[in-house]
Amino acid sequence: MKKLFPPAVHLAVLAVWLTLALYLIFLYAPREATMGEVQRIFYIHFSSACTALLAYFFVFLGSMGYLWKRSRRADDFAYASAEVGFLFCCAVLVTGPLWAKPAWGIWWTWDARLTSTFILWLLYIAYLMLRSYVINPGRVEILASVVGVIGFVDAVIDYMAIRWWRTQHPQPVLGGGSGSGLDPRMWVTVFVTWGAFLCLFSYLVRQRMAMAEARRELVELRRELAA
Amino acid sequence: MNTYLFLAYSIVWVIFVGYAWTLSRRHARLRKELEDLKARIGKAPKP
Amino acid sequence: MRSLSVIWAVFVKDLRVEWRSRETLAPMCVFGLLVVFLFNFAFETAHEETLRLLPGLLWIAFAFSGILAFNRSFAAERENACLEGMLLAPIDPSAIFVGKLLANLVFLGVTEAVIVFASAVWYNFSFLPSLGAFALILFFGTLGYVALGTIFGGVAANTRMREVMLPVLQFPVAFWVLILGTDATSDALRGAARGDVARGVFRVAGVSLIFAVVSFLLFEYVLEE
Repeated sequence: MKKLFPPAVHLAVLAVWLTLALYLIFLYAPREATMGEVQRIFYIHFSSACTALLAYFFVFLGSMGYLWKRSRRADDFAYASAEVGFLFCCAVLVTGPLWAKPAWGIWWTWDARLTSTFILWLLYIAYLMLRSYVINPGRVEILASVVGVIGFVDAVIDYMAIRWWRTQHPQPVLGGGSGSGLDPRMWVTVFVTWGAFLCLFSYLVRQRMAMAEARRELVELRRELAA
Repeated sequence: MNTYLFLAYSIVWVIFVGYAWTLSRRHARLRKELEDLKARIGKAPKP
Repeated sequence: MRSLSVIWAVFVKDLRVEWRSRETLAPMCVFGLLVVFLFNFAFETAHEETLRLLPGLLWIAFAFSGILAFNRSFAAERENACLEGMLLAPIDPSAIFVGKLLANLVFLGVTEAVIVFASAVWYNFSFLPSLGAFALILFFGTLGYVALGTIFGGVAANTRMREVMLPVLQFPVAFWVLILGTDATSDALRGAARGDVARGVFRVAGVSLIFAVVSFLLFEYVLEE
């Protein structure tokens, strides 16, 4: 992929960036007035959420790339993004309630954001399950691509429609609007943390894609031997 | 209160380190198999 | 036009197979009735609450019955290698999609009628005042749901655990069709203002049409060898 930016360098950059983010989160960002220390969960919660969303967009891009050009690389990218994106989605669903309970007293509510995130999580599961369960290995990429595209259409409708739905059926909103009253130091922390998570995402996707390529090489080689 | 904070960061840490670890092991195993296979082809007489 | 005759041929074939085997429609209706029946006891409702619960109940019954149709739609083809036969013929895969979509629409439509009729009797609820709007909502909602079910049925037919894979694919995506359908139905049955009901119908129609078009466009890839 990028010979200028080998995995080792990527990992080093990632380590530094994460360390910086952690420093900012725990030692630089101010203590939140009402929620206290627990609010610091917000930084990884928010970063994970944005990354999980972006990742599904990448699944869509990879799927389209495969449908259009039958590019193996595009499919690898889609699958890798799905696997890693799923992890970030899990992180969102874990950190969310852990923040919500001490901050607002409830683990969960079916407000706009949480519902959309949960559906996104289900869409990831659907994609990953499909990839494992297809019987004929020659067909898995194209079927997965179809699901990736439809899933993305659904995710878009989701994020748009759920906002409308929740004006009809209001529920307590957790997070009180992420933009409300954030100290500038908090903003800096948010951006650095998000950047670190994107770096983590790209590193993991890259490694995952390399593994997919290695597996393909192995299968080709075995086929050659058998012939 | 801070138990939640600790749990959140620990679980996230476990998720990602766990995945990176499993990924690296799977990749290493694949690479080893690839090397072994290539060596075997090298040793086998050409048809 | 060749495509139209293909669509008709696939549609008639699916209906004829069902007429002879009776494997799909009867189980769907029975299952739908069972869902309504169980709900009646799970939520032991006073009459005033019926109106609150009925729309959701109906759409859940439709959703689960529909799944039965989609599984069968491709299961038979797989077993008898009909799909390969159809693919060998020089026909547009999208025509196969429309034919199957129409057949599934008929099956689910009939099932819905049965479920609605049973609900009207069991809950002493008259659908007649809102029949027009309700029928429209049902039509569009079912269209979107069946479009997704048909394509996902095709996808799931290629997997090891297809009875599980289909709902896993279908429900997160069809979620919006079902929710908007429920909401619009609720407005219609309550006798809400015409503007509100109309907007509800448009929303269901909009989302359903989006999914119908996307499914239609992508189906050829599902059949591709």
